[in-house]
Amino acid sequence: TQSTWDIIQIRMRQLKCLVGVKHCLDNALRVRVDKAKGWVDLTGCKMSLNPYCEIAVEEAVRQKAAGVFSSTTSLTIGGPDAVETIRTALAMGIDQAIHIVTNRATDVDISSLIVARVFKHFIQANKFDVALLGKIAIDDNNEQTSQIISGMLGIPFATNANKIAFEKEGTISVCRETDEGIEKIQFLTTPAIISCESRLNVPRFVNIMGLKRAKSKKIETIKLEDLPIDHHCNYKITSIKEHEKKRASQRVELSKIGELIKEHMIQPIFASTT
Amino acid sequence: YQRRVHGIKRLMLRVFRGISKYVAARRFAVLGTKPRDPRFSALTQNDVDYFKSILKDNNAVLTGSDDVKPYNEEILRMCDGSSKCVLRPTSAEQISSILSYCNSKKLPVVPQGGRTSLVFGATPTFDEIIINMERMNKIHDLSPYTGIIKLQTGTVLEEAEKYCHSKGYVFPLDLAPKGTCQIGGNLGANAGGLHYIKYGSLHGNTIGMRVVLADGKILDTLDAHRKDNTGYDLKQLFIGAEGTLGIITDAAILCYPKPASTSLCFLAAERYDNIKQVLINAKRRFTESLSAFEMMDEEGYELVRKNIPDVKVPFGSTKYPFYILMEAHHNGPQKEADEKMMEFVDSMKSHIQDGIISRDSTQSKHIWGTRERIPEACYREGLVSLAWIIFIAPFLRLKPCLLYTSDAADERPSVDLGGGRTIEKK
Repeated sequence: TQSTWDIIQIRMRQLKCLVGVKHCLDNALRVRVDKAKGWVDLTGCKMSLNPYCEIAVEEAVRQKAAGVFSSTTSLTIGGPDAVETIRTALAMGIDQAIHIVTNRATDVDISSLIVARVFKHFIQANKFDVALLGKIAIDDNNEQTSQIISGMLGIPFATNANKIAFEKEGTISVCRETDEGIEKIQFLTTPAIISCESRLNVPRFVNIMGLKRAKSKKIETIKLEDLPIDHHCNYKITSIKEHEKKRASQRVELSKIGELIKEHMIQPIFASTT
Repeated sequence: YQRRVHGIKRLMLRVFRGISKYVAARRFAVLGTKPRDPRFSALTQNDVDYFKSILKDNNAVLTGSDDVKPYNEEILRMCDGSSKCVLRPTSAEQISSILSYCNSKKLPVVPQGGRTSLVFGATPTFDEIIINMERMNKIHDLSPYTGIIKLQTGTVLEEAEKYCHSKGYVFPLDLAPKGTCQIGGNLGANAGGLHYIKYGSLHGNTIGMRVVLADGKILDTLDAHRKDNTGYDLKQLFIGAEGTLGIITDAAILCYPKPASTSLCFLAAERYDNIKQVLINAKRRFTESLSAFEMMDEEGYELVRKNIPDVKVPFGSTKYPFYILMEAHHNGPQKEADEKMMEFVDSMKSHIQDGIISRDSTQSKHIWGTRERIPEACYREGLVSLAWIIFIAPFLRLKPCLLYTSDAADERPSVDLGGGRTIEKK
């Protein structure tokens, strides 16, 4: 039981959360690069929620259940078929969704800069306090969106979040996973952006109850061209090809080692990384 | 459901946790003070030389103590054997020579496969000669017309499954230990598997078999037809005989066409009656395409959630009294299969409390893992639990039985979960 004053305090402290949700190729599928065209053809492939976005969604839902967030909204840029993924996010517990519709391919044609501009527009327009994004999208692997947004808005950000704690005083402390260890950052002001690592939580399964509730939740659909932002991509991907296969190890006779050393020492060391 | 003897169980766990560290105590718990039968002779160097002359390969006869040790180790480490010689033959003729020799010299022998047996059947009781089938792992062929696969019984189940999948067929047996267990062991135990409800038992799916009898005679019915009702169906004796009547070397198993898509769901129910209702309705709705129907209770689910971190349990930490895992095959695209399953689950909403339909293969792996890894979770919880059941069973006149049964539509008035726990069906 909480007194009215406690409830008012909790409500005043509650934050509005924006969650990034990306509709991309299913994690379990192997990407097939068409060698002739030099392109990845995704027609007919199974698409689903980006696993890192799934972790961000799970975190948002948990914090909403804990009373930290007053409402959670998901933001997706994608084609008409992205509705499937949005429904998954809604079924996991997100309150409402914004769907930016575009026919352009989200893995090659929509750059991180455009995504960041869209996020910036909504964070400013709807006054979100916290934006939770996945650290990386598994199709384009850009890993830049959260950083660009924070640069545009001049707000604090933390990437690769391992653990997020919302304190009573209104500060947010985030544990980041770095190569040198865990770095703890404390945000003193909102709005703030956090991008989520895989060890943050284990996302829940979507169950029947969630799917039923998701049917009645609102999805606001807006065309990308209707937004007051520059949606032109400032680069163009010309071709995509697979990595060259590494040289397999081979057995050599002791007498032939001298020749092999001569052959391979002449090649520069960095040849294999081009 | 009601649990009797719960307080006694807690006390015994504490007592036996100390004892269970010693293998000797565990072995005593299983075998008691049973002595080696004096009618059997002991292994001599002459015997080993004879085996080496039959199995000409260097690695086919193992006698060093380090070489022989892994073959003696039982999966639960409760009842390790002390065999001094392991033979690894590659053909039925070799096994025939070995067995006729052992028969004449009265040397005891134990046939061995993947060593995944949970009832101490894979390892020698004393110092029997181990005949391990792991080198007889050739798959002869799979006929595309009849779907009958002919293979040697040392084939690992997962390999046989992969081979069948590559030809558009599915092996009728699917067990949790499929990465290690061999077909010979499955036949010897008449293993049921997770898709028993669709494919039935190995008695029906084994079309032919080549088996070496104890005196070395080879009984060969391998080249049998899909339908063959001539004479006595002798091969049925060996299925389920647990290696006591002969060593099965080759088998012809009937495989079924691979379905285009499968849908998997995991449901939560409050009462045992609800499970029965769901089963009846599932059979009516899916008829032959219902391929799996497994039941679990709250404790099994909790054990997996606690002890197996790789598996993401479907309902997280929310507890329900009973769980159902249901799988159905479908002849069309995956989307249709999922919709069909969704419709069925919707129609069952009065019987179930919650449900999950698997969206992709990763989720399916986690859902199947929740069911398949219950025994592993039990062992991680404490070896002592199994020891307690077996130790105390003779005193309390309880039959230690498999903890989880796949037959959810049991007509008996109560289900025995082992260890003194029963479910009274309301």
